[in-house]
Amino acid sequence: MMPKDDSFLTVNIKHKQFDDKTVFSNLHLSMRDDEIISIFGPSGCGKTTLLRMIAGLEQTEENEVIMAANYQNHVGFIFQKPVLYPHLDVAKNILLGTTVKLTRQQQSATVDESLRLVGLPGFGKRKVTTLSGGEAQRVVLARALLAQPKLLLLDEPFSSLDLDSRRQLATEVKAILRDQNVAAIHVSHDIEEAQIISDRILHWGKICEPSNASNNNEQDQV
Amino acid sequence: MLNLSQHRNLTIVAQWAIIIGFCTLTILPLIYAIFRLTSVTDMSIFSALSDFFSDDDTLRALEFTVIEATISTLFTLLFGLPIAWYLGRYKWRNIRFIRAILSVPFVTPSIVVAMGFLMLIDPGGLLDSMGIDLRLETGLIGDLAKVTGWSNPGHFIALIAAHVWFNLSLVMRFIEPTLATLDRTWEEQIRFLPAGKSPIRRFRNLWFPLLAPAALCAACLCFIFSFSSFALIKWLTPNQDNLETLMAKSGGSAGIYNYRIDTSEIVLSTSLVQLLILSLAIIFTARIQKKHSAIHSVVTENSHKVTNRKPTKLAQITILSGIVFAILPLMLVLISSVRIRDSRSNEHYYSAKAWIEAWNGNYSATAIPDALYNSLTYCFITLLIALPIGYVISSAIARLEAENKPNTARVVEFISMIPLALSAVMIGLGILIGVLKWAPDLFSWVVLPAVPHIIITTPFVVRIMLPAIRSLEPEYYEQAILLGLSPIRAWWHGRIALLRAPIVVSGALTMAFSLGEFGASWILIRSGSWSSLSVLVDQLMGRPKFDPLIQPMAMAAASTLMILTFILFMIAERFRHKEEGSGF
Repeated sequence: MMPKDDSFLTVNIKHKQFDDKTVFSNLHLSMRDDEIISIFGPSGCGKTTLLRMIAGLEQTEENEVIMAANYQNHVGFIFQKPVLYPHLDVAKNILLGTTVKLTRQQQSATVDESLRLVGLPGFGKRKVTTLSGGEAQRVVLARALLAQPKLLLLDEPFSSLDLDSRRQLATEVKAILRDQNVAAIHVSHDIEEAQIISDRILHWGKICEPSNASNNNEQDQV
Repeated sequence: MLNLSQHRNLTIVAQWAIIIGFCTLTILPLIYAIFRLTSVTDMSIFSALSDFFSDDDTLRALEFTVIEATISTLFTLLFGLPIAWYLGRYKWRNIRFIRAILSVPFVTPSIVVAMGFLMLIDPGGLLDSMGIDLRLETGLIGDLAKVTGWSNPGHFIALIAAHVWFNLSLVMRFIEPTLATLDRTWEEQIRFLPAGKSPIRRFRNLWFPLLAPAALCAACLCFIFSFSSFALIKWLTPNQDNLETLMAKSGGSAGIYNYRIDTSEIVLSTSLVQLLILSLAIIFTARIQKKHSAIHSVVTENSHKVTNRKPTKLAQITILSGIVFAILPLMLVLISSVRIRDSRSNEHYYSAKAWIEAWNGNYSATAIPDALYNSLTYCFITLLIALPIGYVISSAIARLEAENKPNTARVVEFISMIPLALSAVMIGLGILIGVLKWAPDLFSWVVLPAVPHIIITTPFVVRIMLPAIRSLEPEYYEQAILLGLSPIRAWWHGRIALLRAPIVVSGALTMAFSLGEFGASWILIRSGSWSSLSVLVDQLMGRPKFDPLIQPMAMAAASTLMILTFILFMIAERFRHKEEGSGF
C-alpha cells in the first residue's frame, strides 16, 4: 500500500504494549523521502521500539506502518552499539554490505572508497576489536551505505561517544547522508545532536501519547 | 614476619615446585614403563614403531579405533548440533535443569554407560522388542550382516550410539552458550545487509564463522574420547579391539623379563602410537579452542540478554528426544537391577533380591559397601590432592599471563593438559609397569590406586578454575593487605572466598570422575579387596550368568555408582554460574 500525500512513510500506531504495560499509544508520523528527521525523547520512552517497528523487527498490526513499495527492501539500520563481527576484519565487515559479487580488485577498491567516505582511509586490515567507539560506528555507517539504503534508521548511534566526538560525527553523518541522498530517521535523547543531524525534530510527546512512566522521565530530562 | 614481596617469592617457588611435581608424577611412570618395555623386548622406540605397522593385530586395532572414533564424532555432531541450536535459540523454562539432564552423560562413569547400553540391546530388552536385535544380531541386523558381509554390525551400532550418548553434551556445552549469549542485534544487523538477506547467506556469513570453531572443538574432543574409549569397547564390541583394549589385555603380562615378550612388544608399540596420535589431537584441539575462546569471549562480552523466543514444536520435540535419549540407558540400569529372570520359566519378575545380595557381598569377592568404601577413599584422596594442585597450576598460569609471560603460561598450561593425551589405560600401565615392577612393595600403599585418578582429574580442575582465577580482580587481595590482614587471611578473603563456586564445581566433578574411573583402576586393582565400585561392576558382569541374580547384582553396583555420581553432578550444577554453559 502506498502512503498518502507526498510522504513515503506513514506510521500510525494505536497502541504498543510490552508485558501488559503500555509503552505508547496514538503515535502518528510521516516523512518525505528527502528528509532527515530526528525523534527526540527521554531514554526508555519507546523510540527504539518505534524504529524496530518501522524496520520490521517488532510485530505491527496491519496498516500501522506503511512504506512505499520501492523502499521496503532498502532499509538500513544502525544500532546504538556498533555491530561489527569480530571474526571478520574491517574490510570484510564492510563487504557484507555489497549487493553484487565483486572481484578481489573491485572489493579492495570498494572498501577503500567506503572507508574514505567515513574518514577512515587505510583501516581495512584492522581487527574490529582494536577500533574505538567512534571508529567502529563509522565502519558500521560505511557498511550500511554500501548496501545502498533508501532509508537509514539510526538508533542513538553516537550515544557511547564523548560529547565532542558526538557532535563531530553527527555533522559528518549528515553531510554523508545528504551526499548519498539517503533519507533517515534518527532517534536520540540529546537535543543538540538532533539539531545537528536533522532537518526536522519531532518531540516524542508531540507524536504520540507516552505512558505515564516515560512522561515523568521526559519531564526530568527536559 | 614475612613481608609481601617475600611472601610473593615464596608463593612463586611453591607454585613451580608443585608444577614440576605434577609433571613428574604424570610423565615419570610412563618414561620408566617405556624403559622397562624397551629393556624387556630389547627393542628401540623406532623399531617398536616400525613393528606396530608390520603387525596385523595392531594394524587392525588402529583401523578399528580410527573408524569408530571418526564415525562416533560425525554422529555426535549430527545429533548434538540440532539440540544445541534449539537450546540456545529459544527461551526454555527450567533451562538449567534441561542442561543438567543433557550433561549427565558426560560425567556418568563409562562402565555404567556400558551397562546401560548392554541392557538397551539385551535380548528381550527394549530394542529387541522393537525388532532391532543388536546383541545376537538376528532379524534386520542379521540380514544387514549377511548382505554387507560386515561382521557384528549390531555391536558396532550399539558402540556408536553409546559414544554419541556419552559425548552429546560436549557439542551442547561448546555451541549452546555462544548461541544463547549472542546479542540479538548481531543477527538483526545482518538481516539489513545484502550478506544476510537469505537464510543460506546468514548461515555462511554469520552462523558458520561463529559456530565452526566451537563445533570443531567439540568434534576434536569427541574424537579423542572415542579414540581412547575403554569400557564401552570392552563390553559393547567384545570381538574387536581398539588400541586401548589391546594394550589393556596385553598389559597384565607385559614388562616381565623372559615371559610373553610379544605382549610387551604390543604394549610398547601401541602405547607409542596412541601417545603420538593423542598428542597431535590435543595440540590441534588446543589451537582450535583458542580460536573458539576468542570468538566466545567477544560474543559473551557483547551479549545483552538471552533470547525471548518461544520454542517451536520441532524444537520441543528435539529437546524432549534428547532428554529421553539421555535418561533411557540410566533408567534401564536402575530397572535391570530389580528385574530378575526366573531360571525355570525364563520370565522376569521384580525384586530387590539382587540389591540385598550385592550389598551383603554374596556371590562376589567384594560387597558393595566395601567397594563403595574403597571408591570413596580414592575419591577423597584424589580430591585432597588434585584440587590444590589444580588451583596452584591455574594460579600460576594466571600470574604468568598477568606478568606478560604468555609463552611460559602456555608451557604450564600444556603441562597441565598432558594427562588428556595419556589415556586412562596408559596411565594405569605406566604405574603398573613403570613403578610397581620396579618397586612391588608399593602395591600395598593405599594411595596408589588414587594416583591415576589424581593425574586424570587435575586437567579438569585447571579447566574449571583457570577462567575464574583469570577474572579475579586483584584489588580484593590488595585491599585486604592494605587493611592489615595477614597474607594468609588476605589470600582467604581476597581469593579463595571469591572462588567458592569454581572450587565446589571442580571438587564435585573431581569426585565424580574419580568414582567412575575405570581404565586405570581395571589395570591396577582388578582383583582383591581393593576393588572400586566400577571394577566391581566389571567383575560381576564378567561372571557366567547361569545364576539369574548375577546380572541384576552388577546393575545394582552400577546403580549405586550412578546415583552417587548424579548427586555430585547436581551439586556441581547448583554452583555453576547461571548463564554459564561451557566448560566441565
